[in-house]
Amino acid sequence: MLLLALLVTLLLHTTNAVDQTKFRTCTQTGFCRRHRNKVPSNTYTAALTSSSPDAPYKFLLHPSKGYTSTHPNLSLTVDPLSNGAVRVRVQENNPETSRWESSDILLPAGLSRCASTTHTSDSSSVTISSTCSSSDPPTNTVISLSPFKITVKQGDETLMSINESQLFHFEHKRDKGGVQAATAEPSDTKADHHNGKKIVGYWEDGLARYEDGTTEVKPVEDASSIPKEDEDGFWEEKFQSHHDTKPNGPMSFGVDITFPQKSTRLYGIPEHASSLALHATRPPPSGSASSQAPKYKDPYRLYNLDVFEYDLDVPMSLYGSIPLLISHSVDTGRVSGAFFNNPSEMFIDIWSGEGMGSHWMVETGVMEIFLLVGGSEVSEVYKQYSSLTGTQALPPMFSLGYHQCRWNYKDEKDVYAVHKKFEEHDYPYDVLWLDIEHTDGKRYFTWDKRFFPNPVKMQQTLWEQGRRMVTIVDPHIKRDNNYYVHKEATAKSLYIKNADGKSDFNGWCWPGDSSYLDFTEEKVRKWWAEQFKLDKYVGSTPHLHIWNDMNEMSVFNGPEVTMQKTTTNLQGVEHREWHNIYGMLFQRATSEGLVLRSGGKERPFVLSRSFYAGSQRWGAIWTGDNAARWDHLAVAGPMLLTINTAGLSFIGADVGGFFGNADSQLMVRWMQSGAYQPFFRGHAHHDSARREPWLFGDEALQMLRQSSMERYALLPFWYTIFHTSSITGMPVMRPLWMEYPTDPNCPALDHQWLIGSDLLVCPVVQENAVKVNCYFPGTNQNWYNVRTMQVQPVPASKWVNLDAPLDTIPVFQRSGSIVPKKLRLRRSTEMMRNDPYTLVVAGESATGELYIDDGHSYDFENGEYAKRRFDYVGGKLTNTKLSGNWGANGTCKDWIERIIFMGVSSKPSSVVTSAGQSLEFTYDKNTLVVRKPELGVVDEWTLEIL
Amino acid sequence: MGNIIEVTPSIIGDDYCDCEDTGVDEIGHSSACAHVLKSDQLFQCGISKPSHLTPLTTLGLDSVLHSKVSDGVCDCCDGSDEEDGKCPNSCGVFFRKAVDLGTARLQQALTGYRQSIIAAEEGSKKLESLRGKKENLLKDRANVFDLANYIEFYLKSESRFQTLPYPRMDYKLQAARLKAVSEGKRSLGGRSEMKKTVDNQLQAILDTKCPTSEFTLEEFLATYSADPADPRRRDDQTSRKRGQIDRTLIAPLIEDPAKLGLRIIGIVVFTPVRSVGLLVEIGSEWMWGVEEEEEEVKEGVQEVGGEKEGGVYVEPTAFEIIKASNPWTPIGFLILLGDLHPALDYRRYKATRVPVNAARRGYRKYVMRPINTMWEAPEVLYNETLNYRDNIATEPDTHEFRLLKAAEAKAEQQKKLIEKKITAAKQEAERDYGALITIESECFSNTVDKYTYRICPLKDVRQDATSLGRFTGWVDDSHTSYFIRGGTKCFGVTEVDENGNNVQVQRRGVVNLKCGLGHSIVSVVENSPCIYEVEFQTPLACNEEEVGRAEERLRGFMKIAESRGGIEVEEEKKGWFGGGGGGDGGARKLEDIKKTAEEVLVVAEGLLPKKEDR
Repeated sequence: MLLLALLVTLLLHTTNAVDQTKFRTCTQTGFCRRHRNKVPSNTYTAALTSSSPDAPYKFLLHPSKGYTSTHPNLSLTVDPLSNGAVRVRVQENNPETSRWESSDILLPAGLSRCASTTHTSDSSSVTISSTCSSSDPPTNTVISLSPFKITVKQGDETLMSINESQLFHFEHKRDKGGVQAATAEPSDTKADHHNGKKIVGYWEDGLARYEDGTTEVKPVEDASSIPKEDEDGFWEEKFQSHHDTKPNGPMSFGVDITFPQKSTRLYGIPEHASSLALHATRPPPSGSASSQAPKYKDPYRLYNLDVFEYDLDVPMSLYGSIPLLISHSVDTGRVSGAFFNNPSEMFIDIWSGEGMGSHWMVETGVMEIFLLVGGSEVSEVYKQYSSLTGTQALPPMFSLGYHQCRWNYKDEKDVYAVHKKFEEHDYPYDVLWLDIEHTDGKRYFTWDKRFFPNPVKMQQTLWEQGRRMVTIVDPHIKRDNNYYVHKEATAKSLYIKNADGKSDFNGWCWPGDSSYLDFTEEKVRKWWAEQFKLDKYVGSTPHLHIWNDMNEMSVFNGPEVTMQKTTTNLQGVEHREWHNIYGMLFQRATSEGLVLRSGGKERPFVLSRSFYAGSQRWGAIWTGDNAARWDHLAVAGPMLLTINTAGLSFIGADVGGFFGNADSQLMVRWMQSGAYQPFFRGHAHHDSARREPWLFGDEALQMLRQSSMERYALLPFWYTIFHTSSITGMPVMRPLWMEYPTDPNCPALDHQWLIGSDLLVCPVVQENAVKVNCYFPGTNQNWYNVRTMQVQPVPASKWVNLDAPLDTIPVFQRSGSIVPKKLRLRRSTEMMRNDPYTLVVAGESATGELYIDDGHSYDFENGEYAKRRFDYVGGKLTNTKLSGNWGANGTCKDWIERIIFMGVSSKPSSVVTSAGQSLEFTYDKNTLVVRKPELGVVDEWTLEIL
Repeated sequence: MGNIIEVTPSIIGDDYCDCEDTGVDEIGHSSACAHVLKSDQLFQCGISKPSHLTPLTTLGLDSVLHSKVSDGVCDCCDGSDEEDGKCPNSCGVFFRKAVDLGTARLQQALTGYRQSIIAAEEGSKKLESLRGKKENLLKDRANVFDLANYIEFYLKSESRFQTLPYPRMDYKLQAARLKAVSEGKRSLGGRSEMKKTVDNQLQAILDTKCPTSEFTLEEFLATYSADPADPRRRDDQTSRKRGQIDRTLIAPLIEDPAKLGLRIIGIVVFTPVRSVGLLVEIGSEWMWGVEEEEEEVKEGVQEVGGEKEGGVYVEPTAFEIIKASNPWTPIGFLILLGDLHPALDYRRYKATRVPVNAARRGYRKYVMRPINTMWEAPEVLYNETLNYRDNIATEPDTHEFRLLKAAEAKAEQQKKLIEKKITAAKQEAERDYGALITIESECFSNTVDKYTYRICPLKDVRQDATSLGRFTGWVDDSHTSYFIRGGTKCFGVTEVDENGNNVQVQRRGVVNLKCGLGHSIVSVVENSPCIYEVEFQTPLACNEEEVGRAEERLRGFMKIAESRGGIEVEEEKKGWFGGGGGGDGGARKLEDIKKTAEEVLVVAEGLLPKKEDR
């Protein structure tokens, strides 16, 4: 009976969603247990040791009374940076025990020190004052000596503190000494629970598949096996059948970062299938009252994992990690943040008491925290963060169009048929994707010749119509001695090694036995980049772009479907040190390969599933294997907003949902929503019914096509915002609080969002809903319905229950903005290049920008672009140059075919250009449409409405 | 926005979309309204368009979607969708290909059409023969059923005839037999030959004496003559058996050792009880084989052993009275009293008759029946559980009877068989074959992509060893595609059935017929997992409409080609999508191609009914 019950539970588990027990919780993780159970205590006292103007302020942290025998001396450096952030580092004072850190995360320029820094000190504290942000009052970093604590203030306003809650705890690197630990090699399967069945492979759910066609039944964990003693998990840990030995012993650290009373909410630390505003995971450590009851039992976890059929509304890890926490105060409108530069596994507890607090528990590596002070503008914090990790790379224009993907378009005939259907239905799309089945037995860079005999011709045929293709290339390499990539990688020793540091790691992924290239090594990345050269990647063309999947990395037979932490990179550094950046470095290497392929001319497009802080520099990200369910559609918005909030903008969720079948209603709603999200791709699992837009009937097809057309019409606007993001680091898809930081209703809103600052999108994510409740932020702020071009009446509550019949979702343009569009339908972005623009001017005075370049090359870096600013004041619309030399030699023929003015109270008598030419126009319902002004986009002109 | 626009010539085709709802001002001019135009509102390339061509068949040839106008891709073969000089005029190659392709298609359609006409004739013959087969089978059925009925009647009468427990009851059974035989003959009607055969058989059996156990034959008769539909039959049967057993104690005992054993148990345990009961009253039916129908007792009229005549009470003779009653029982004594003088007959007076009769009924019902049941319990149980043995034991064991039973069984078998055949024949004759009747019993195999497909038209489709489903009916009256359902279950793919249960998907889909030469599957598309769209090419799908379409299309191509005066351009148009076919079209001269086309068109015209007729 018990067995039956057990079996039923197991079955329920596997059929519903993710098998959560497959992934570690805090209590199953030694370092997290140790830190989370810590009682606040004053363990360290600080003393200033060096205050040279040429070097960071240096402190010695020595253990407080009662801790001297167990706690070593530590060194603390505090360094105000020229970008306005404050860099704080803590390590062991003994240089011999220096810890590993990656040189691939931070941009050197972002680390330049603030030149105007002074300090004062008294017996209890040292105050470092820096003025690197000219407009703002100086930033004061106050280091309280005992108890040791760092507080950052701007003027008198306290922004955040380190160790305010006294949870700081630093586990020093130590010798095993007398401690008995298992000397045997870590063995993953000490007890054979496979019952002697022959394993033929593993699947993405991490379970073995046997020769007889059955699937491994996951062994039930014995909860009592978790050790309780003090040094639990110091040297060895066990999770399920996997053992983790730690030759360096415990090296974790934990520290609290608190944001003062005025902090309303915390955001960031993606990726979790959860809401935008972070939920509390514990009560405040001070014992004070919790203003927000903890919603999650476990802390938010950051450990990149391939989570098969992930659950929603949990703090579990997903595919990517960005250790950036953003705090926002409605009272002051201030946004500040903290960035942990550390790619090892971490757990983060969140609480809300007096203000907001966080407890960071990090497995290993250096404790380096960038306190992002922010400024009077929200954008300041992103300026600071992006100067450290980079801004969003300007994507090639085509990648902002619609992507059609499926696992799998099975052969060339299929590709042509799908392409032809798009053509016939006059349905715009830019890229057709090929998943793993296009390869010869999951050997990336190869083609299954039975199905893709002429890949070059196929790509050229699509390219003739301005369409590109994307193929998948994953980081696991099939261990097949006849496979050139494997042969070369083996010969050159480019693979991640086992714990012994010598033999190549061998894990199971799509191709079966696979090895994983060590992308933390520059020479491997260089070698990898070479692989994308057209002569090397046979069957590729310049119009082929790349998709990187499974780069968390996914190892089907490894712990938590990833690699053992004891494997080492080529430098002998343990995997546990660099786990979370592996995916990013893989995407980077691929991206560099595509640039290399074009001789440094063309911008790459690489989609990756895994990500880390800085991934914004390398391409697009998607939220992995979601499902064709309404709740997954609903969570897509909050997830994308969170990732945007963490500085990574080019991000999307699979339209339609990866697993399962989407009916036409879900498909239509998802397409409508996806059209207003940064990365816009339809994708489906191979067991899902085909989803091409015409398979849902004519009515649905027209709605789907309409969504796609709306996306294409707005591409000049999207492109401009992406450009801005590439300069300022500001997210593209923004939560409402980012633009309206003092609006008390905005902080928790994540069902609607803004594109840039000017378009407000209220998607419908509920089945059968024909109304959607939408909040209109801002005081005295009008919003124009982009479809009716009329001002939306908004009551005092600013909430409106809007009509949203199936064929549309409400989208509004901010009064005061000018949105550039291209209305003409084309088959792809490539074909829109020479089309004229339509400007949509909202309100009585408005301003807007337009960025133009060739859409694909790096020529813009040499000034081959145009950035224009449109101002509409007092009935005059002017076009002025902001920057760029595009069209200086008369090569730019871009022109404006239409200017729409929304909210014009009376019919004008005439509309004239600065050249004195009178223009034709129509006027109806407060909307003025100036027809064919034929004004050049790169020309200086004024247009006057009389 | 619904602006009201004054339509002046100047706004038409000025590369600006004035009619923002309909886009009509730019149809055929520019891409300015591409975002509002529908996909059948096409831009005309710089050549005339034959009105009868459907838009999509000529896309690129003479018209394109407005979104393709001046986008940098040469979509019109003459390049008129792009600015001058941008695109080479490749219409010559295009037309050659188009006409050549059109000719090939028409030729194919014609060949197929001819084949399908022949097939249709064969098909109608086949259908006729199928219908004839059904009619013959229906005739056969009548014969088989008559025979079976006759045997049944005969068996009834014969059984009665042979089960004569008492010779003096002869006349009744004789009458029954005659009645049955005449009924049977009547049912045979005019089919004299058969009547004769059966009559002879009957006579042969009638002439045979039957030296079998009287008891078992009677039982069989009793069992058999009851209406099988009567729900009481079972009870009736049991009660009759009980009566019979009462009468002949020994026969069943010696017939079957098993019964004997069981009965011995009954005798030992229950006989003493039962004997006491019998002593109190022994029913007259037990003695004389006449059932006392107490329910039929009428006011003032009694029958005691004698015949009633017109409802008038007839004085019984003393002998009859003694015969009818047993003076050793209390009832017998009461009747005897009445025999001495009518005034002493308790039956004359309601006051005595009612209680006595009621007592007798009650006694039988509540005392004797349970006692009898107990007494017989072992055997009843045995009979109930092993009644087939009972049958064997109780059937008359004559050669003729066995023959007759065998004949009956055979007749029943034949009845079933012929019913089955008729159902099948009916299905065959009434089946909706569409155009596929001549190949409905054939199967065709070929390989598409990585699978070998086998299609048995109107039956099933297999992908290697996997069944994609069996024919379940045509999609509509056009008979151009049919459903297949119930194929091999699909691993890991479930759907919700009409009862809301999650069930594994069984492979299914549609088979679309496509005009072409030879029978083969040309493509299989799986849009949803395990749901297929199979394209089956067969000349039988080349109907008149198909030829008509091909003819019109070719005429259209020719007309365009003529209007362009046979332009020969060497360079093949770049980026034209959906061309292909035609093979050597580029190498041959347009004039040759046109000639062939015209020849084919003449053939087509001759073959197709006149346009007015269509």
